[in-house]
Amino acid sequence: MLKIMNRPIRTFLRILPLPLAIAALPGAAIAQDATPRDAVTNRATELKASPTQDAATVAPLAAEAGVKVVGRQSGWTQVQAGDQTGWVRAFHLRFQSTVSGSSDSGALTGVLGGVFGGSKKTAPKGTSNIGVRGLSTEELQSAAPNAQAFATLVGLRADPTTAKRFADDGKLVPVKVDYVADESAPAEPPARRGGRR
Amino acid sequence: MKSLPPMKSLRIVLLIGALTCAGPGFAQFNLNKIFDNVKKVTETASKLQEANREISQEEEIAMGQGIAASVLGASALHPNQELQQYVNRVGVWIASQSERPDLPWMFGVLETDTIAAFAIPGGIVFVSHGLLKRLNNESELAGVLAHEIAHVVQKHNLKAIQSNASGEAWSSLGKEVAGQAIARRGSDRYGLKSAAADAGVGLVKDGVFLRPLDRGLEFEADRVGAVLAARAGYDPNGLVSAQQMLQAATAEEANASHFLSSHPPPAERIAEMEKLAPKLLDRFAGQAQLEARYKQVVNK
Repeated sequence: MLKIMNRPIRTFLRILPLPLAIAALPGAAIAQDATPRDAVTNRATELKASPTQDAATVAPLAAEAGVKVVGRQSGWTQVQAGDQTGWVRAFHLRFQSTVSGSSDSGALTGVLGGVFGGSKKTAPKGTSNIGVRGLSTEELQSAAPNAQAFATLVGLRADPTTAKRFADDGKLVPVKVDYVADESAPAEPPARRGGRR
Repeated sequence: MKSLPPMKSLRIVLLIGALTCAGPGFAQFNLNKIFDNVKKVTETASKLQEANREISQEEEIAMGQGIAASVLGASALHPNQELQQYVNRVGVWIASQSERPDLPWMFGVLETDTIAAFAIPGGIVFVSHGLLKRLNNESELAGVLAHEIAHVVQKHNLKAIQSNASGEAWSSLGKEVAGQAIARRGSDRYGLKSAAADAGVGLVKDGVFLRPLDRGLEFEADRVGAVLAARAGYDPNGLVSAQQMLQAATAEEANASHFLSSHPPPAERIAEMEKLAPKLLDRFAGQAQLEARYKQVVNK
């Protein structure tokens, strides 16, 4: 049920004008692709009544089931699957964009700021930077340093006492948590994996 | 090691330019001088022999200030002071749980609608207003800031800059900074009048700072960032949620624009984060999310 089409076909579909795309496909697949779908499950999972592990199960979801994303909270995604709404673990979903290999921020920024990828991204030459203002590679490289704006930034700093009071207001209690090792590369110390591409 | 491609060689030349021209007579952001002196610097470069060295924290901070000033020359700060202070408080609180609590941490909200967040050596983090508008609560912001703080704590960008600038060029920065910039600092803590700050400006100008980080470092910043957010009392799943937002936003944008990039897609980052679920994400899922406080400030 709700088996999706394979990647090349779906990518092809997005590029084709809709009537052409429909004409190009067998009938059964058309109806499925016509349903709103933001993401598909990447494994068999459960639709839960609330965003917690021990919440009641609304319905089981097969692998590759299409869902429409409604919201998100704490590692859970609120989705509509068929006529039912509930929560699915974020790790159990794959979004449509990822099937075409599109990356996190290329389309969004094409800039500095690997989108809390923390790093800087160089905009591919000759592409338009949709929505980008002031952070394109060209703008950055040609900018004159603004010492006055930097002074403003310095003036906005929070001192640790203020930050602590702010944390108390939000009932944020510091806890001791150890770093989690990278289990996929245990033999390689972090310091050696530096910067070079 | 492979020989340097032409662009890299150019960057190195420019970097050396930024470094060696930054003497007392070239105090503040004297980019024209830097470029005027590229030829001279190229000659000087061949004489540089000193081995690679660790950059001091003071040099790192000054360099970061130069980079930040350059970013602010291109992209304006958001005028909402309450918003700026809010983000600074969240950021400083998280940074105070890290191994580098004493850096002069600064967090700036850029006015642009673009989704962007990035860290600069020395403890400066920028996030865009476009990103803040798309986040749901303070734990998501905390996840984003903690990821950036992790880059600074682990010195990812600093090491990448060092690596890209080559050992010879780096040693020249060391000489210049040690000999001149530090002597001038004292009353100039934020005056940006040091050789290292000039070098930071040069690193933006010549693109060295604009290079993407190794994808392994991005995954590492996710792992470290999730821990820092949890230490600060936040639900560490906020970082996963923020990545979900990014993934969905990418889906929207992918239909309008088709260019690809070499950055790890959010789907891969989320898949990596799943490894943290049993030990970290599930364990601290009950911690604060603070949706009301976030929306009260950001939606104004």
